[in-house]
Amino acid sequence: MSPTGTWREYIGWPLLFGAGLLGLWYAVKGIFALPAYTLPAPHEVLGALFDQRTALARAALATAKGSLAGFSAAVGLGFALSLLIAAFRVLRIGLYPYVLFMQMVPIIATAAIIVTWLDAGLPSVAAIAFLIGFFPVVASTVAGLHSVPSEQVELFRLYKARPWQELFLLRVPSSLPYFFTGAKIAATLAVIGSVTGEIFAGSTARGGGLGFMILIYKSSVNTPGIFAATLLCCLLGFLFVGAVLLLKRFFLRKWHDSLDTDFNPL
Amino acid sequence: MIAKAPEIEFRRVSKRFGAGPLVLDGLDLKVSPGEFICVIGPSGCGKTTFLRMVAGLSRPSGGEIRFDAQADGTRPELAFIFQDATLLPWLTVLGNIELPLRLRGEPRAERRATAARLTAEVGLGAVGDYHPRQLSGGMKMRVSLARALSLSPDVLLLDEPFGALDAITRNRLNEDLLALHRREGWTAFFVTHSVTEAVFLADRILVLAAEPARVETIIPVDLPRARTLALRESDEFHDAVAEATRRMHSVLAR
Ligand SMILES: Nc1ncnc2c1ncn2[C@@H]1O[C@H](COP(=O)(O)OP(=O)(O)OP(=O)(O)O)[C@@H](O)[C@H]1O
Ligand SMILES: [Mg+2]
Repeated sequence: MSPTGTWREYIGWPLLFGAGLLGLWYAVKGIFALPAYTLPAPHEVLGALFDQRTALARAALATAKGSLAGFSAAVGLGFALSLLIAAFRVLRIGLYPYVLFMQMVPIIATAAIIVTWLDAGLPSVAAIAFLIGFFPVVASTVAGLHSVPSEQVELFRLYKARPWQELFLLRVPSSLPYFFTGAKIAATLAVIGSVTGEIFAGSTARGGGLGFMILIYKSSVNTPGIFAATLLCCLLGFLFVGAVLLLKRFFLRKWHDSLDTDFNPL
Repeated sequence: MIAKAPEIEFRRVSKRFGAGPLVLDGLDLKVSPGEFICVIGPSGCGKTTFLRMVAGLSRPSGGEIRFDAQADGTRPELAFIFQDATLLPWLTVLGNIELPLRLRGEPRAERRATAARLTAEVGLGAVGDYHPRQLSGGMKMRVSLARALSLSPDVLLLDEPFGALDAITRNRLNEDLLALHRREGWTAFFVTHSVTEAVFLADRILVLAAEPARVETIIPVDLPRARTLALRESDEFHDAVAEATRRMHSVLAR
């Protein structure tokens, strides 16, 4: 908690603004007399969420699985590749530029390609979630592995540290804050990537996720359903990012300063 | 634990960076084992560069530095204390102090014991489990000092280590440093901007000038070796500071 605020403020203001936004939502709907299939009211979205609770819960679980698989692979393999890039100059010079380049590939394009390669369903969804998170993890971690203060590197050289000691005892710990920044990006993108994948792979997906449900609701003009599924996507993303931040806090709490800004923007 | 401090000889040592001007020009100096040398001079005159060359972090452009008259460039055990403490923030005080031993592959139990002893010696026994962010500037420098001492160095290089500290802390650290020096006998090169500090610590003061970049003079300090804070109150000490200041100004003003 920041010394500039109290819990009451941190809960009160968001509630107040949330109420204001909901009011605005109702107002727009009322003024333009919009029907539910154009813009459902908040209570209609909650209604759809309730009506469709079994289908949506199953879908959310499927999306969570795909996201988690993709995210874990992105973080694990991303960290491993970062270590290799830090350890071998050739990779840093030759390969790293392509990592930076690959970050620019739009998700939609990745999804379109992956779906033509892999079976629809979990494998392709996870692959998309992986691809979208992998490059940010590598980019941040490599940046972290190379932004060690030069005096610390000299200290290690002076003490005749071996290259692997410099990597694992200096560069790796020093890069952890950067790694977690990358992991946080990957967590957000994993859910977005999964849903995108599901929308592409939707027609053949069995036990499809939230993206698949969005397709179904779209074809039956169930706009409140689309809103409900979208709401679940956001909640899922929040959950993922929250988990990464908790892990970051667990690992870095003792020595790293900039933690509180993750939970508290002030 | 008396270190086998080497004799160090600088022969026409010069340094320039790339095509830049000479930072050091023909430095000749012989330093006896266990001598305490303070290096003083205006900002940018090459004090840090000088220390880095002794440490082997940077090569002279001309001339050579010999340790015990060995021409092959083998170096004794050296420890560098940077201007900011350069602690690893994810390690505790003990973890930082034992780091050099850990890098040498010393068994965990032994290096822990050494680190605990050094932590107590620099007066940080109570905060061994703290992380650097929990320490004051003076405490961080003590950790840095203990870490430097962990390998029982033969030569200690200190680059304005106490420059950012208040006068009281600084004086106390100076006294502790001298006590350690007397006991362990390493050779010290200590960069400072303070003539008073230099006179208190040094056997000889090396005055470097910026332009032209050469050793202006070497001022011997004729004070008894066993120096305590009480000495700082004496007339003898004030005279020595005044004399050193006068000599320094007369050469730097030329
Ligand atoms: N790596 C480098 N590349 C180029 N020039 C350098 C480099 N390091 C130092 N210099 C130059 O060498 C000169 C001496 O620098 P140095 O850091 O040794 O000064 P200093 O006496 O330690 O100064 P200060 O009291 O401000 O710390 C300066 O002119 C500086 O610009
Ligand atoms: Mg300097």
